[in-house]
Amino acid sequence: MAREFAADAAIPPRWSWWLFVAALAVTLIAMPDFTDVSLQLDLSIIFVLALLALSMSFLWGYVGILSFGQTIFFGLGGYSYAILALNTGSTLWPFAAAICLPMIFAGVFGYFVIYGRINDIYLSVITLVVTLIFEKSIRSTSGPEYVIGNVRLNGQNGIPGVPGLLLPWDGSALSIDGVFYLAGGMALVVYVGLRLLLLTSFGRIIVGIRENEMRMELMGYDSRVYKLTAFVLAAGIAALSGALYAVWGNFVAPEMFNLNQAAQVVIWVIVGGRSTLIGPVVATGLVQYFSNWLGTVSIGQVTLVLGLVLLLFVLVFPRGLLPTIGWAFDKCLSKIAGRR
Amino acid sequence: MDVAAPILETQNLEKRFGGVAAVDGVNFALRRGELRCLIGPNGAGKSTFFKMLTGQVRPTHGRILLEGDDIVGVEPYAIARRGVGIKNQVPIVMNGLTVRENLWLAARARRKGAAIAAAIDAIIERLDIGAILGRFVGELAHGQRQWIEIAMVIVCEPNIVLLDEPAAGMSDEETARTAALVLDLNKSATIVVVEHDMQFIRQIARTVTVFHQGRILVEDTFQNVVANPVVRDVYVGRQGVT
Amino acid sequence: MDLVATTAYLVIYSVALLVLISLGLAVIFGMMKVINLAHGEFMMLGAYGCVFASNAGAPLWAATALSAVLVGAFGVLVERLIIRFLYGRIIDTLLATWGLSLFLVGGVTTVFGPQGRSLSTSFGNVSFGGVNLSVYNLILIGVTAAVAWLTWALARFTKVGLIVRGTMQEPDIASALGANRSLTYMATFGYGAALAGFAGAVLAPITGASPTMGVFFVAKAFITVIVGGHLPLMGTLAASGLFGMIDGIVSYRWSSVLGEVSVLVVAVVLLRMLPSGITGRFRSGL
Repeated sequence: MAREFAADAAIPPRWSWWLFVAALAVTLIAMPDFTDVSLQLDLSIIFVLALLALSMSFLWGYVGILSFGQTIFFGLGGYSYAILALNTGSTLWPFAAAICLPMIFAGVFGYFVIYGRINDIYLSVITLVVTLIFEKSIRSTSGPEYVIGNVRLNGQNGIPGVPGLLLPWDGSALSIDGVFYLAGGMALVVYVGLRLLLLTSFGRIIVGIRENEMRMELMGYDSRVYKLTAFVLAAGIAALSGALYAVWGNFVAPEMFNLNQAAQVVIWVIVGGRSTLIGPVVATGLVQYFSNWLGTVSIGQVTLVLGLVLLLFVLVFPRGLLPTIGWAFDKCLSKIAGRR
Repeated sequence: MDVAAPILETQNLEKRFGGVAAVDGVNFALRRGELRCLIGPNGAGKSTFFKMLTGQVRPTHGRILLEGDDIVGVEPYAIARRGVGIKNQVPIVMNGLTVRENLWLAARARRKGAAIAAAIDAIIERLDIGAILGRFVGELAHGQRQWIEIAMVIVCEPNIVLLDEPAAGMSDEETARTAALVLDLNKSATIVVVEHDMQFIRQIARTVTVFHQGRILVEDTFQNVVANPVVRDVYVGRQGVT
Repeated sequence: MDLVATTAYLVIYSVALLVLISLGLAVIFGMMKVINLAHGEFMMLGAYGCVFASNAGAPLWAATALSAVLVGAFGVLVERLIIRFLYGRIIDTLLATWGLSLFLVGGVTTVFGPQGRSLSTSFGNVSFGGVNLSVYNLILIGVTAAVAWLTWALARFTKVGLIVRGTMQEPDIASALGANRSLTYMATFGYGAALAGFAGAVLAPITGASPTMGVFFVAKAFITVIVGGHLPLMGTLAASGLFGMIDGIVSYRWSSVLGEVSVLVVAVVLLRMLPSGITGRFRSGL
């Protein structure tokens, strides 16, 4: 299986990859004609969450930063859109702002943590702490005094009635098809964009920093600038995911910030493997379908299963499900070849 | 710019780890264009000394003057940009990337566009590493990994090159090549070499500084140092100095 | 005078509370350089243990001691089944303990339901210098000081403590001198877990026991331990002193959330100046 983050990743992708991308694009465009609405809705949310997975796998796989806090930007993106759209009545520039505002926050937070040269483990724990603080803060905003403009934050219950995107040419709301195309399109664009980013100077330098930050510094690279830029970029992708979530569900809630959500993001990347971009996306789909198949289970049981999966994968499949399958597959093949 | 002033100088440089002084009050001066050797038993403080010069380790006391400016507390990347390059005792390279990619990253540090490819071609030629370009650095032998690290340092065109045991783990033939390279490099850069291999030092030596227990014991020409009885005592039990 | 007395009490209480909830985490961190993300859940288990034992009729002190021992045993089990396989893999240990944390929260929610359980006590209040103080809060302060002293005494005066300290400072040398490193880690993790269980049990009369209570406390404990640095006692005391003051005053004046935010901000600034925490540079000591 192609190792996208392999040492030779700086080589342009093979034609087979481009074919794969083209096939995805065609499938995406054609799909609404062949599928029913409920499947489209299900797939749309998978696209939205795939974006969140991509932001995490970029930050962790490429840059080597384990952040438990991508859900912070996911939540901020959703809430920013909800608050701005409900306050102003327009939807397009709130959508853009919903991506930019979390990036600004990421810039400030990232600046203090990255320029503060805080070590990797502490950084991870601090992102977890910030997630905890955000969840607690939002949950505590139930009272009527917690209002931004004329939108109540509503604490536990979240903000309902978030408007869908209004098309600029005729002011009508984006249809279910439209949301499907938007989410799928964005996911595809970001996936291709991140893969091609590996070919740029920035991408190659980031990978170099991940591989050996000290050597990069000893050659004159200020690793902090690159890490901060990557951190802000990842936050932007997560925020996009959050804004799309709000558009998809017309609803935002504190659950967007919570530990279960944060855990799911980490699990997607662990299951899918850190060495590819597509692995976590596939894992997102698998995990979502598995959850739907389980039906309505209590939140306690969801948390229980998430914990078990995390434990299982760290102990047994540290490289991730897909890379391990790939590795096992290779071993079988070579055994068969050896027998001849 | 005062040509006679040292390009690199330390004043009372000290590094303590808990109660142990790895470097204990070192006054060191390096003239522009010099080729200096640093010798001394293991644990004498040479590698720690080097790491303070690059900013990898922060001194406990003292000053380091690079072209007259105190660089204590300056970030390693800023010191590197001022022209200090180091090949470490244990190679610090990108093991998970290919040789080619490592070289590209070294070349990209100060160049853009076509100059990068030109620099890479030049170093491949100079160090004769064309055969291993596609190999992962982590899979190379120790001697080869050192050679790659030296290549990366040279690509960055530093004014001061610090080489920490460049001949370690090398065959006689590789050692001779390294010595030749060091002499060639000296035409364009000031060099300090830490080494144990006396054959290597003999091939390149001019002034030799002897470190012992974190301090400078003796600083003299190679012949005088080798004949010095105090130095011999310090080396008793170690490789014979012939 | 009232304001000074109230503030002083508040600060002392906040500091004691921080020490109580952080000590177990600090012991494990100091020994194994492991940040146990399931620390809050060990506390939660201790709280549940105390509530059940107490509601079944046991006196409070017995219920607390029993909870601590049980959680300590559970900690040993966790170390043997999970942590032991991940030595040296710091990120993986972080993820695994996080998985354990989620597993425990989910498990307890599933088995006992999401509602909190409470514990009735009859301690009441006492008047001191014009301020109305809860007797139990005073007990908490006293008990925390006792446990901190006990930990110090164990480390300083017993043979076991010596082995633990040696392994903490120089694991290879200690091991070469005959100390069983594996056993030491197991015992230390168990003790750290027991301290966490103890903290939960002590808090049970105040907060009750609920599945997500660990999450509520854990943010402050993590920050305290990180900023404290690698010496479990000195680091925790120093960091708790600082953050107890900040959190106590800010929480009282504004809100608990703002208290946590202030602690976080101060922590990030401090870590910039002292990247290994307050005791990060100390080579010896506890």
